[in-house]
Order: sequence, then structure tokens, then C-alpha cells
Amino acid sequence: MLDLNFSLSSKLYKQLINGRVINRYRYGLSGEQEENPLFTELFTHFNEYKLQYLMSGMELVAKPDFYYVRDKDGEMPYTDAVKRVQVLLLIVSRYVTQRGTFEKLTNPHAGISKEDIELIAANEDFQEILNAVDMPDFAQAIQTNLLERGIMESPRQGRYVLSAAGRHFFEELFSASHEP
Amino acid sequence: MRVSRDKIIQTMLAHKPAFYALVDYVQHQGGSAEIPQKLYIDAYHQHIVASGDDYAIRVLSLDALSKNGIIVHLDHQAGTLTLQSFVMELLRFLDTSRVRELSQQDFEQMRDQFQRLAQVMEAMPTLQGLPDYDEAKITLFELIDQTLSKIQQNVEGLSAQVNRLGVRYEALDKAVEGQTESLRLLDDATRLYERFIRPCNAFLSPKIDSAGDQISFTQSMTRLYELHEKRGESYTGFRIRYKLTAIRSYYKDIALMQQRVRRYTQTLASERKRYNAIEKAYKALEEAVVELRHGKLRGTKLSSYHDIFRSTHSLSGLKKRQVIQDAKLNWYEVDQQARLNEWLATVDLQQDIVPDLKPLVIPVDVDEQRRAELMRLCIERQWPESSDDLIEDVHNWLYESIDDHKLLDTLIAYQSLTTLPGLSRRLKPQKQRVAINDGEYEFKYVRLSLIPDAMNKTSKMPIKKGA
Repeated sequence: MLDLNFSLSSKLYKQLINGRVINRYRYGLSGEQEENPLFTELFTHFNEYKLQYLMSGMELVAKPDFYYVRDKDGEMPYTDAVKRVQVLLLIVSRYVTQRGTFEKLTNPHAGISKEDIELIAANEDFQEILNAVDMPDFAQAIQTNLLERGIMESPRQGRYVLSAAGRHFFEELFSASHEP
Repeated sequence: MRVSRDKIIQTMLAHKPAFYALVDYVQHQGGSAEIPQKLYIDAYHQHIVASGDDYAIRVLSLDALSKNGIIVHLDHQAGTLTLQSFVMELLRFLDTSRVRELSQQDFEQMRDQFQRLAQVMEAMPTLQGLPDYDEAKITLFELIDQTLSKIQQNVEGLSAQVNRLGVRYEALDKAVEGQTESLRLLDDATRLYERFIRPCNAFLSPKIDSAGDQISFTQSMTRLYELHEKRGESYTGFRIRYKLTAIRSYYKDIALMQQRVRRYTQTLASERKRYNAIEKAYKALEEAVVELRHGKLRGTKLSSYHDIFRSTHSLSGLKKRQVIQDAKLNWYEVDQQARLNEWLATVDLQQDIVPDLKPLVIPVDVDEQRRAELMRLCIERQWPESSDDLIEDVHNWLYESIDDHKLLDTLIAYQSLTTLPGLSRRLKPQKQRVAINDGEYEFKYVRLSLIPDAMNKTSKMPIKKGA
């Protein structure tokens, strides 16, 4: 019936239903950007995978350069996961743009460092917001909600930049703010 | 005290930092020639008196400069002085970064002068032997030489300014107050571009478009050399054409500068837009959190239903984590065909992918590069404080981390981690036999726990078996 790659499809299933996004590119061991075979698999057999998740009560969402799944019968698209991701991205971007340019979050030669994460965690204003969304441990929150979900990624040891999914959030934010 | 002017100029040049303060003041005031006397007296004390040069102290005093004509006007009532314009020009010439940039008005004035000369010469019935023509020709070449000199200095000055912008731009990410500097840099770059680079580029442009009554510099010069060629003054025509080429040779430099500054302004402007968008969203988030400080909401958490989370949709409906068996059988009545396909696929899958597990081939090994990669991953990994089943943990971790993961990789990684000094002493065998497989091979082993390091008090989440 299909030339699906069952090894990749089971990996995809595990990642997608765990709330992980599948980005088009990923960073290889040498720090160079390369095509993500999971994305290629989804892209090549989109209709089949769409059907698979549809039949499990989910929707496979295709965005520019990334995929993720959400519940088809979800009453509220603004889930707790969305809240956490948005809050973390806003805090990180505020920290970065207060000190320099936004490019630090997108350039694989830059990226936020562990020292930046410590400085953010030590900031009282940020901490109040983090407490309000029940994420008191900022470093842990970044790990669980951004890195493990594929919204940020690490091009090299100790540096973190936005993935396609992370960048898409900001593209939407920037274009919304340009609307009259 | 009367002193020869060449001696004064030499002494001034030896103490030029005192006079640069005056040049900077004039520059800052947009070209105003009246300089506060106090400014010079301060610079005089700071640079000249402090140098201990007795001769300079005498000849560069306010009175001595005035008596010797370097200061053309000393207004004691207003407390100002006016320097000879050539002194200002000389100082600017010596330091290109202080060159006064030519403004739109300067260029319009130059265009106007060329246009008037072209009109005057065109109105002459003949060129040869006319005293008016001879005078006009002298004026024309003086004007051309002045223009060439001004453009050359202007391009040098602008080039120094663009380089300074470039240095500030490159240092932006390292600046302590990056955003403030970024905004200031955008203002400076925009001002430089709009007020000085663009008018200069327009003046030197080979295009001969007219703006209102005024014709372009290129057009005036073209009319002048064509007029001379037509009326038998070919040599003069050639000289005009040659000078035009010399002046216009700076067009390429200024075009490159224009391109460079435009790139800075565009990047900085879009950075400012991004900054504003982030500020707006962050402030809204901050306000929503402030509301939770008081009244009925005090102590409550920020809801994911709050309006601030609805402004973007890029990840709407994103699922929560760790719901591995979350798939729901959610048949829709209308999707009968889909249901059938699913059943067929399930049958196919069962036939294709349920393998017979085999024991591993002995000796266990992978190629050298793979082994080195696995070793590197083990070294770089932040190991958990504890784990009930370390081998299963390594197996799951590698499955997530590398492509075409095989059971062999897990075993090699296990071998590697046992050589890591921080981990090897924390391994503790348990009394239980367990197994892992990669769909092809199976590995049965005695469960091995990773126990917390008594030396290391940093808290990390332990990994529970089956998590």
C-alpha cells in the first residue's frame, strides 16, 4: 500500500503525541544544519500521516517548515502547553532585545547561553511571571517546554537558538504588530 | 604682539587638539561661525598652557590670535569669537572625520552656479575673443576645481563616518545597553543617509533628470562641453568633459556607502519593529500578572484562557507532554473509507513489522567513527542524578538523539559511560533481569541502577523506570 518508513513513523508518533514539533531542519553532531528525516517522511506522505492522526482523534498541523499534532476535538486551542511556550519565548526574547538584537535568538553562531539562562532566572520581574504560570524553575522550564519540544534547539554545546517553530511564533507576533 | 602668520599656523598645528574643540562646536551647531570665547579659553588652558610651551602660550592667546588676524572677530559683549574660515577648513582637511559634510543646500547651490554659468555662456553669440566669455570661463574652471575638492573631502568625511557606524553596528551585540545603542545608531545612520549621502549621490548621479527649474549638475556640464565643442572650442570642451569624469568618479564610492548605510538602517529599523512588538506583548503579559497580585485573583495562576495568549496561533492546540498512549479511537460516522484503510494498513503492518528477535552477534562493536560519536555524546550529556535502570535510560535517550539507532549503539554507549569517572562509581547492580530490544536484536541483562553521587549536592530529577 505504501512506501512508508515504519521505523520513522513510530518515532514520529511517539514525538508528535508527546507535544513535540517536527522541524524541517535540525543541527547535526558537527553543528551544521541538515534536513530532518522525520520532517521529510511527513512531507512525503502527508496525506497518509494526516489520515493516521485524524483516525486517532488528532489533527496533523502543517506550518511553514514544521509539523505538530493537536486534538481534533479540542475545545480550546489555547492549551496550558501553548501558554507555557508563549511565556517562555516572550521572556527570553525580552531579555535578548533589551541587551542586543533579536538575531541572537536566530543566528546559530550566537544563541542564548547557560549564563543568560541564569541571569533570566535571577531577574525578579521574570520570576514573578514564571511563578504565575507555575514554572518557578526557569532552566528546567526551558528544557522541558522549549528544547524537548523542538521549539528551541542547540546548534552547539551550551547555546540555544529558535527552531523553525520558535521563529514562526515571532514572525506571527511581528506581523500582527504591523497591522494597523 | 605681531607674529608672522606662518609661525602662528605652525604653532597652531603643533597644538591642534585645542582647535579641534572649536571645529567640533561649529559642526555641532550646524555650521554657526560664532564660537564661545570660554570654549577656546578652556581648550587653551587644557592643551596649550598645560603643555608648558611658552612660545605657544604667548602666540596662541586670545588677544594674540585676534591681533594677528587668525580670529577675525572678537565680540566681547556676546563673549564669542569668529575664526578665519581657512583655519577651519585646514583643520577639517587634516582630520577627515571632522570634515563638514555637504548638505542638500550646498548641492543645490552648486547646481545653481553651474546652471547659471551654462545659461550665461549659451546666451553669448560667440565664444572666441569675448572678454565676458574669458571671465566666465575662468569662473567656470574655478567652480569646477572647488567642486572637485569639496566632493573629494566630502566623500572622505562620509567614508570615515560610515566606517564609524560600521564599528558601532558590529559592536551592538556586545554593548551593555544594546537596545538603547541600537536606537541611537538607527537615528545616526538615518540622519547620515538622508541628509548627506543621498544628496551627494543624487548630485553625482549620471542621470540628467531635472528637478523643477533646476537642472542636474551632469546636465549643466554636458550642455557646457557640447556648447564648446559646437562653437570650435574643442580643447575647452574636452577639459570640461575630463573634469566632469573626475568629479563623477566619486559616484561609485558614494553609491557603495549608500548601499552600506541603507543596509544598516533597514536592519536596525526592522530590529526596532521587532523590539516594539516584543515589548508590547511582554508588557501585556506583565500587566496580566500584575492583576494577580491583588483582590480576588491574589494567589491564583495565570490562565491559558487569558486573551494575551490568543494573539498568535502558530502553536495553537499544542499537546501536553508525556501522554505517550494518548491516541484515541475516535471514529467518525462519515469516515467509513478511512476506517477500512486503517484496518488494511493494520493488517499490513502486523505482517511486516513484527520481527523475530535475534541474540546479538559477538563480539559487539561498531565502526570507529560511530564509537567516537557515541563517546562524545556520553561526555556531553547531562546525566541524571539517579536512574532505576541506566541501560534502559541510555537506550531511550539514544533512540531520541540519533538516527538509525540500534541496540549496538546502546551497548557501546554503555561501555563508554562506564569509563567516565563521575559515573562508574555510582553504578549499582539490582536483583532483577530485564530486556530491551530494537525490533531486531534483544539484550537481556541484570538491571543496573545509577545512584546519586554523595559528593554532588545539585538537585536533578531522578529518572523513574518506565517514565
